[in-house]
Amino acid sequence: MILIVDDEALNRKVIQWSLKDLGHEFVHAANGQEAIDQVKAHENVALVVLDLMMPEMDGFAFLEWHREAPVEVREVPIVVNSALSDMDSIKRALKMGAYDYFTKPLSGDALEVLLPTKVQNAIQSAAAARSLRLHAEEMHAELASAMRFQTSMLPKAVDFAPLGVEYVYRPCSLVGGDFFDLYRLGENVIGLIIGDVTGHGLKAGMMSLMVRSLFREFIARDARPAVLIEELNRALLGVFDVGHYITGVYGVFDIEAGTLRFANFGHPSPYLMKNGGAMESLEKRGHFLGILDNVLIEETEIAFGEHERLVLYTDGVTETANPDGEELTPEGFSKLVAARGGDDPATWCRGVLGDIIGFHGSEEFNDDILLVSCWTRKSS
Amino acid sequence: MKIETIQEGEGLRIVFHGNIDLASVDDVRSELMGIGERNSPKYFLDFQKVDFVDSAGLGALVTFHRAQGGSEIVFQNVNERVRKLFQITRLDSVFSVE
Repeated sequence: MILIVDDEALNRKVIQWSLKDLGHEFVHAANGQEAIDQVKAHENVALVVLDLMMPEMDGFAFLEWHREAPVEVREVPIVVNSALSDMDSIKRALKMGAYDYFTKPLSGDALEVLLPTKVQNAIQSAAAARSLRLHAEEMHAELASAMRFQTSMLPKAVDFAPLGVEYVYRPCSLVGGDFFDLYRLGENVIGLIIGDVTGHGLKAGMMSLMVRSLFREFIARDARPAVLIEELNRALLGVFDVGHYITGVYGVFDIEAGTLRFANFGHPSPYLMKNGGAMESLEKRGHFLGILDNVLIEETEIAFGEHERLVLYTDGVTETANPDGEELTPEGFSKLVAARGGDDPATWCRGVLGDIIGFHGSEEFNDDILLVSCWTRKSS
Repeated sequence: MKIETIQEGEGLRIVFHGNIDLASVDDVRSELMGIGERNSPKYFLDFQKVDFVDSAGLGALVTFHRAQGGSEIVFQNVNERVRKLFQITRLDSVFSVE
């Protein structure tokens, strides 16, 4: 439907005649206010042909209203047809969002060829923009529900006593490729995995869900780090897109014995924070998984006592840049972590996340951010 | 990213002009795939003009290395930063770096 706005009935008829072959119905309005009423009354207005000088409410006022209207209305293109032929008026109308501008009186050629062609083009390009917007909205809604799904898959820290766990996860695009999971192997024995699938977004998110379900299958069979990681690599060979892989750390806490047995597959080294903030970087590393047939795995056992905390993170943390483009780096992160050594473990992660946001200068990150802290709750 | 190949005896020198990272990795991957089809018995990966490699770039290099299982692959002119990355990821046990 095309809305023709002009205070002269004859002008409206002439324009309707000019556009008669475009296959649209027509509605008329004699001033800006009537035009607003018509737009509100008809949801399917595809274009407005707008006169500027009209009594009561002029065309500029209509453009003003249109500019502030909801997006469905703002998407309706406006072609101005006015007796105002000075460049200032033309500029003003175009700046206010008019799609095109014709000066009155319209010549025969303009009525027969130019106006119908430009109106047709305007309607088509507005329809394309609208369908793009609807598509983007639909995608966003799907990503948001994928995010809720992914979030619901994260472990519930309260279920893993006597291991205390706190984590913060900030996927950079609703859904992320970082993941984290816990699995109870015995009353005092708990398996933990943190992982980072290369890339981010929906594809990385789906891959991380797949790795998580493989992890749950394998850990139930054999929880030893070297065995589980080897199995994971074998299962992932040829599954990722070419050149993609996963890094991570997998370990088993035995809280009764006070030990942590772990192996690192291509992931940034975790930290062991002693009581009071002294930091030890757990440097043992092996290959990332998913590309190489035979991976190097170095399984290690360390003491993990009541006054220690294990800090795990993904590279989105250490590669976070400040406004000058300088990365936080593992050293910078370690300082930041140590400075909060005295904090209550249950709120520690949130404090560190706040520090990372402070360093970055924004809450919008370019990569997924995952930060995990574990401690023993035996004494509490 | 420009990748230059130079025949050196029975080996093939591959010179990367630029960083091997997320921005260039698609080009690097497809170029290397084409180069791999030449089935050279020896490849020299020349990092003279490479400042850094990121995680996406590493994936492309490992993929090439794996695909050329029968050939000898030697990394040359690798700077300290890239060498350190190979060490941290333990790929120094897979790649032969001169």
